[in-house]
Amino acid sequence: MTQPWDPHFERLLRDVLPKLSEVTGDTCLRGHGLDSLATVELLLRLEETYQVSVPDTLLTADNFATPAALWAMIGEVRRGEVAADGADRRPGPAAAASAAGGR
Amino acid sequence: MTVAASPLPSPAGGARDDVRLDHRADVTDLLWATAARRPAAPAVTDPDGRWSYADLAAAAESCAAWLAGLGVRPGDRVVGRVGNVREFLALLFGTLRRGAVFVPVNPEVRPYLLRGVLADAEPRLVVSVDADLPSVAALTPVPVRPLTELRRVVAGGPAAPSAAGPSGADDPDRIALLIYTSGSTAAPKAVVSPHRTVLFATRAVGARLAYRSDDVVLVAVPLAFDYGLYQIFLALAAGAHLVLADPALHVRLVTTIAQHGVSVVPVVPSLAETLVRLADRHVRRHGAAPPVRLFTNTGAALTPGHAAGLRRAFPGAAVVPMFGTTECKRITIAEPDGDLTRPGSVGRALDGTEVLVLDDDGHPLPAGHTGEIVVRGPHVMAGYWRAPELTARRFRPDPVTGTVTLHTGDYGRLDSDGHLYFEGRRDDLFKRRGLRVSALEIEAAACDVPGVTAAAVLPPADGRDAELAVVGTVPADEVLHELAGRLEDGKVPPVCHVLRELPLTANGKTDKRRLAELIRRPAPEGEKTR
Repeated sequence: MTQPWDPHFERLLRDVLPKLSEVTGDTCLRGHGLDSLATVELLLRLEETYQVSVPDTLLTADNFATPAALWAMIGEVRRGEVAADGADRRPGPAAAASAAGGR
Repeated sequence: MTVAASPLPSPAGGARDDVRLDHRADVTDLLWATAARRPAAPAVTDPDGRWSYADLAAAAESCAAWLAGLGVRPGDRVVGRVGNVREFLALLFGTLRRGAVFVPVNPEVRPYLLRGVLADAEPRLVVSVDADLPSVAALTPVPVRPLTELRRVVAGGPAAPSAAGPSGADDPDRIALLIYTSGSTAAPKAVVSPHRTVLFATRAVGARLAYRSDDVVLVAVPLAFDYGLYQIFLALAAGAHLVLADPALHVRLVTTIAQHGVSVVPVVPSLAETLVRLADRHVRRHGAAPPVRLFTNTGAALTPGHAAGLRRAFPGAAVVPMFGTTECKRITIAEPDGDLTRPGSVGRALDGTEVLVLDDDGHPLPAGHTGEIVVRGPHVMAGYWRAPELTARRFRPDPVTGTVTLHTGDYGRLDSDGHLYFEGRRDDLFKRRGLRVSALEIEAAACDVPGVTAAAVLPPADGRDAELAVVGTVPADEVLHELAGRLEDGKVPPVCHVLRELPLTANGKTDKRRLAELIRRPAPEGEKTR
């Protein structure tokens, strides 16, 4: 079965997650030992291997859920579809506060 | 480095006697007091938004009315299994406002253990994250309500305060919390935490750590873990701002720290390591690490490498080693960067409390001698929930004075200035080739080897010798060789396993039971020799 990713990607996954047996697109990474520390390790290695800087907006649980999601995230960054990390692109806490406080 | 005198209360504790004697002491006062004084100040932020102190007080009232409507009465237990979200605080204070007892449970706790907890606590109600609600409901006959329902209730606006009813009776031992601990025994056991004891512990810890009203405190450890839970009380007592992070997703943590101006971060070793790595990445991208001023540590001790890493990655931050046990919340707190002045120490006893080291016959030992750490003071909790025998073993009243001495089951020594050095559980201490050996001592020496980031020792058991497991980039035989230069011959384990990671409990401590399963069984991964 062919997968969309290159061999570096799978090797890197197996390196960080030795419990992985078969790597398919929808393998649950958390179920194979992707804890909080391993997530950081995976991120740092991906950034090094692909010479990218993943913006914080993409650092979500969903993007680290499966190999497919992770590979899609890397692709997005490599194709330059997301803005590089700026100062603060997210709605600030003030917006969140007014949304929550209006009762 | 010596530290300027912190604002300690007088040792005789004039102010704290009020707490001790005040039978009406109520943990919710921590919230109401700041909500009245600074209603618009930020109280708690999670990834979905922020509540001011007024918002949080209103959310607690709404929750209390909701609980009353669901039949929760004063004294009933309410289990909260909701994770690190703002609604945890609403449920905590809503439950206490109702006069009921809050039982925090980590959503990561497996069904096998959760079933035992639910049977033992006999709650009136369980509030659970939605994801696996049916499987939780299958474990108990008690109603299980989804977190989303609580969210709706809280968003619906404050109920009339009268709807919640009076918060409780005039009882000195009124229970605020049951905190389940991950003990070595199979059966779950909960520490009974009365309102006034929780308040005393909060104020005694607060007096040492001196959280400020302009502090922003990051809780990335589970709120259901008492280390995380008490951050709520400490922050509210100071009028500070809590920022909650999902313990399972730390990859954005340094961004969160920068975004919210976090100044205080409680850490366990795995979290410290994550922060150091992410801080380095943050510096590469943004030029400087965010200005954290304080890292506190308890639960599992930081290695000197972790502490140095934090100070390097976050210039200007101090590291405060602490030591405690849920049975009395906190035992000792060191001065800021006390790990540099007294390496290995976890500090002095909280003011108004006492820590002693006893021999096997219960006699106090002089400074420098290792024995069981025991504790006395108003921070000693009210025993274990529905476990009189276990309570009698660990919480021992003096036959004459009635003063309770808490036998922690932890071993260590005091220096002549009263600074405590923790050496491990009784199980972590063993004799090998005539030497008294502490697993912690070997672990500390192993972590001192360059390239080793974590270490754990399995003491001799079932005819097997002690074994060492390390995480790092160093081959096993080199670790053992380096250890031989740091420890007496008899203390160096014959075997070292280099692992990718140590199995951790949900609270970030090394899970030695799982480690034993991992390395004392033929390893299929071939990780043994590297």
